[in-house]
Amino acid sequence: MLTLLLASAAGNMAYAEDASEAHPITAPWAEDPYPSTYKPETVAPVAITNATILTAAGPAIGSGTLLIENNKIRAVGANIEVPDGWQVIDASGQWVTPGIIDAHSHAGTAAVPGVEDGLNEMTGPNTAEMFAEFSLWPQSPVYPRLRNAGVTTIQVLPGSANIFGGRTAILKMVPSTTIQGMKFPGAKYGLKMVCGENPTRVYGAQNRAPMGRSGLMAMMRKYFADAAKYVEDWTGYADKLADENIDSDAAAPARDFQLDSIAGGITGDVRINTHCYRAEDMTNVLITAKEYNVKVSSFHHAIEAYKIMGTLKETDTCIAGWGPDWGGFKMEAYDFSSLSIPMLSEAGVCVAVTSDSDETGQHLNIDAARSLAAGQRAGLDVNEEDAIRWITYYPAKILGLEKETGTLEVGKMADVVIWSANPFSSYAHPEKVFIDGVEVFDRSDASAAPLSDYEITPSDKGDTQ
Amino acid sequence: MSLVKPLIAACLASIALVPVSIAETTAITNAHILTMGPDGEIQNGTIVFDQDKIISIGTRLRIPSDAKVIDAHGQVVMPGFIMTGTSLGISNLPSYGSLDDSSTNNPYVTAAYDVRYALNPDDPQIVVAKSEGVTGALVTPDLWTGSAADPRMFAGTSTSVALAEDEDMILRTSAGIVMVAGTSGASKVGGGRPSEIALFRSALKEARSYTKSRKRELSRSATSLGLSPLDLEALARVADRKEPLLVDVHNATDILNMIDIAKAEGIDLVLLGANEGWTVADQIAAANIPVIVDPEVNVPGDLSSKYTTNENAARLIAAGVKVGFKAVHGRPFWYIRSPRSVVGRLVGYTDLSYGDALIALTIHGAEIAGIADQTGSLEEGKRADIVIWDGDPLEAMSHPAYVFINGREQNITTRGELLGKRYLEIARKDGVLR
Repeated sequence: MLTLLLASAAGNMAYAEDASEAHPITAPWAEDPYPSTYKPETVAPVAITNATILTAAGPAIGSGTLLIENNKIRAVGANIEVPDGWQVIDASGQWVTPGIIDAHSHAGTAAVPGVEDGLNEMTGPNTAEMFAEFSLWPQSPVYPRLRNAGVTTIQVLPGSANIFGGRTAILKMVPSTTIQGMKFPGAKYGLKMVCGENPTRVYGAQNRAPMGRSGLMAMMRKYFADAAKYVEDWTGYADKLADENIDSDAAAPARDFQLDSIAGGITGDVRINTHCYRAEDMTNVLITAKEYNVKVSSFHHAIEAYKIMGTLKETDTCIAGWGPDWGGFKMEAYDFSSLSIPMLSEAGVCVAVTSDSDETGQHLNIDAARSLAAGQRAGLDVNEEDAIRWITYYPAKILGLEKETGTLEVGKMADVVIWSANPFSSYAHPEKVFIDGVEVFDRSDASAAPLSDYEITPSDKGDTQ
Repeated sequence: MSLVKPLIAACLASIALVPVSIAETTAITNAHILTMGPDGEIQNGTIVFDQDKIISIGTRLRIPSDAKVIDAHGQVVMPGFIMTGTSLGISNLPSYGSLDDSSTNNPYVTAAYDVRYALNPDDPQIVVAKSEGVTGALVTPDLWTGSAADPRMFAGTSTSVALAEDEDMILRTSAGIVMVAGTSGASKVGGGRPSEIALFRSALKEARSYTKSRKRELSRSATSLGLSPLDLEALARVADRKEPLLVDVHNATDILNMIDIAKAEGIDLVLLGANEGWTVADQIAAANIPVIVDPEVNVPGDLSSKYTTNENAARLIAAGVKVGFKAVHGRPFWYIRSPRSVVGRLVGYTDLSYGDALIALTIHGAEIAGIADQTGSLEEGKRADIVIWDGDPLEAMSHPAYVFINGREQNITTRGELLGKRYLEIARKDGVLR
């Protein structure tokens, strides 16, 4: 809504009509201060043939072909000719899917190597100015394990103690010595927000606000109002620059890194990911956000999402949930249901199965299979073509990247997994994994699955699975 | 598949219409029986049982005229899974101290913290576990995870249970005293592995002298170790080999140290976790020590468990070690589910064979839990803890069609399914769903 006046990350538009005289200022909330340095290498084109292909964008293709060229998908379908001179991978009896995307991960921080890094910055209920990427460790042994398990993109979120937790990091699972070398090029930042029991438990115990849900929502509303004012101030400043001229002496509003992150939720430059369990909590957040035009892109964990499917549809809010049996570990998670994911799916809500765990993140296909089975047992109209979207297309949509990745469609990034069998079988495992068309894992070639630096040892005992 | 659906329908119908427990004899016919015992695998088999024991098992059996007959349509019938190492039934809501009995922060109750008194048969998670084909468990206490001002190394005493409704769950009390050793253990006693080992051996010594002395006086040394009379009595069971010590330990050197100490002290060990166990598998096998493996963990947690891998179970079993499976790592305290589909994933992905996976999940699990005389395999005279599957028991999408515990059919519709169905109806009425 402000893109005409202030440059947004998406358009980088100038405020003046004549570009040569333009002095575009980038809106502070749209800045990407630490851009990705990842560029996929150039590789020879490759064709995967005779595979059962789940594209996540339509019906399954039996005995299909997938063509990868210039890091992108060039063609996918049943009757596709392989151009002369291409490398051909015969995937007879095997299955092909988009790379798995985990919209809720903490991989690369905290647990390894037994050192808490403080990604859960429990020093105040608003740390919206924090960027998760500075707590991440590129040599984490979790990254190669995720890659070898067919995971091609993850969103790493700050912890859940704070109402405003900080910016998320969206990473491609490519090997790199820097986090910038893994960041998804051009991805908008996410902001982690939290409602419910975690902030009230952490800060209530310190006799600080928020001690209860009412205090929490009051604080959330205050920062939403501040962010709305911040957007107004910066918009007014840009207006003034546009009305006057190059030499305008209008003073820029004070920069506030916390409000940058929240304001982005109003302008659409930052995607808000809210950790929230209960139906009334999610509803309360939505009505509070609406007052200041804050867009909540997704609720995470969202144990009771199945109780408010109509609201989620109306507000176009995605759910980053869990497989069938995560829950019961605290009061707000008591009403977990194995039917939540398939019910949301049948209702047409954007719904992802996510991990929140370094280990579970390696088998989201199994968690999705278990949710699918629960739904089918209850007579819901869900199938494998739906279930693959829970771990590819919908998580891409939660990250705002569904046009770049998450399905096997022509022109998209070639993030692809070849599975030994139907990926919803316990016995399926990745045979090959491609990120941007580059083969990053090959089960038949151990050297293609390198250990992280951390695991290099003279004893040579390590395993990457 | 056409055979599966009527089976499920029959199952749901029976849940809806028939009270769960009726004293009766049941016969399952036309079954692909994996007995996990001396009778091996039986095609087209029949198994007859009542609410006391398995009466007969085999082919061409005489079925009592009053028996309720269930046609398994050739599906797999096998003993229920035994989950070794879980807080199922004792940690209702782990974030809330008052509702969580999986551990205590009271420094005067350590080895004597007996989870038999914490069991809540009404915990909805128990039905979730049954819906995954689990019928028994070794329920283990956790060492307090909060800030420990008082050094301690024993979490308490375990109990082995059947996940039965309407009857006593306990199959065996004093099923193992849990001790946390290695890096975590050292941190709980003020730092340094040698410190914990010295304290542990002192504790055993105190337990022996306390129970042998007629006066049963608590020595100053025992008091300084934070051990109460009940703790010493509990530890004496370990010292007298009446109960194993379940040691939570991961590092290879720490494992070898515990094996040496167990030998010197003459006590029985079970290793809990043992993430680096495979690197010393031959020594573990030679000492005849079972291992409870986490089937999911494969990320090196710190420098003392650097060689953590999903191959752990396969390599231990190949060396001749008896292995059981615990609730998975992803959420050790609250992610309470059967390890079944995660174990299934290890088959093919690692060197774990299908047969060894099922053995670990049934009879070896029961042996580690100390209840193999009662359950863990289908044998005449044993309890009828039986699952009829609607497909391959290790497949992610399979589900039990029937679960029997001690011959009684169990409800396997979870609280979450009931809630889901309630909101399904509302969504259909509101037009959100067709």
